[in-house]
Amino acid sequence: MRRRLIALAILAAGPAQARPASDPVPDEVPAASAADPAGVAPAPLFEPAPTAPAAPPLRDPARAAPHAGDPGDASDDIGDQAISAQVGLAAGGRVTPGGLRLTGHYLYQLSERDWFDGAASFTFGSGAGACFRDRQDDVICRHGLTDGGGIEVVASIRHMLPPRGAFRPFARAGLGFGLARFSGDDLSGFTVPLHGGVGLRVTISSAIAIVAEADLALGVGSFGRGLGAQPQLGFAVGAGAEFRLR
Amino acid sequence: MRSAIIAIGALLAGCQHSDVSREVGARCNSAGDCNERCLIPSTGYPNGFCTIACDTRDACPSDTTCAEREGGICLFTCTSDPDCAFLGAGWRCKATDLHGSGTKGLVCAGA
Repeated sequence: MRRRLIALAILAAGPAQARPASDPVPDEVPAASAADPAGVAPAPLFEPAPTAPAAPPLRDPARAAPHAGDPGDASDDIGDQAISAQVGLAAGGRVTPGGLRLTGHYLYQLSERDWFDGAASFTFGSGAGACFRDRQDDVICRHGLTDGGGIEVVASIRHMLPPRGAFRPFARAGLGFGLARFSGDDLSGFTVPLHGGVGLRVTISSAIAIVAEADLALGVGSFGRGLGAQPQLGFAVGAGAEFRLR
Repeated sequence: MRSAIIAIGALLAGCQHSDVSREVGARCNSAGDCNERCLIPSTGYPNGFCTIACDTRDACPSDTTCAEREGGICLFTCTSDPDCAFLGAGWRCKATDLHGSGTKGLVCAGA
């Protein structure tokens, strides 16, 4: 009898506790009626052990948007759409611009954990000249980490990872198209970098969150002044505020 | 993974290499092509030559010395003509007064 009670207790508590946070669970549905589609609960065959109360239903944090009014969901409420503004530093070098970077994001939910992340970034670095012609008359550029400027649009996917305490980590990958400019050398180019990054999101109210992320860009650019195709390699960190739209 | 990172680093580092720089040695037509000063193309400086002003040898980068030309400029040191071949046609290894020392030294200069 004791072993049977233990088994019943595990059955009652186990599914709710073992369910990963990503599994969709109907909200606000009592445990008894969820198992009773007809809405008429049969008479209990026995009384469950008092030490094994039914666990409250879990909510998928990524699906909490429609319940923004519930303060209990605020920590994970991204919303169907959001915008964010970030400020940070970008490190480039050679013909990759670096310096102060301002970025705006538009997020649109695609699935339970994935958001389309469209971003536009502006990089403001030093205008110092760093290109020269070697003795073979080839143009060589040795810009520093924070030289040059640029504008770039990036289309990427943000994948939200399971929460860790108050933090909601995410990973991001995408493709960008940009223009780079090194005014001190009168050098311009078109760039196509691949982006990969990670970040953390912390909700501070039902509609506002703080986001910090790091981004690595690797790609190729086509430049004037006879430089032609050049590799692009950059790293950036930034932080800002994210605002839920819907 | 580690070898891939090393390979990418080597690729990026190997894309551009030069013995000269905007400071000393690059070709130029105007001062804007250099960090400081352009010795415009002439028989003395074929294809132009970026350099910096100096008072002593210590003011010049490695492999260069302060020659008594143009009021004191950094030029590459040499021991024979082939040492100056990397600068292109017209450059020779010549004995020149060294600025501020009263001695002569061998530097790369135009014919």
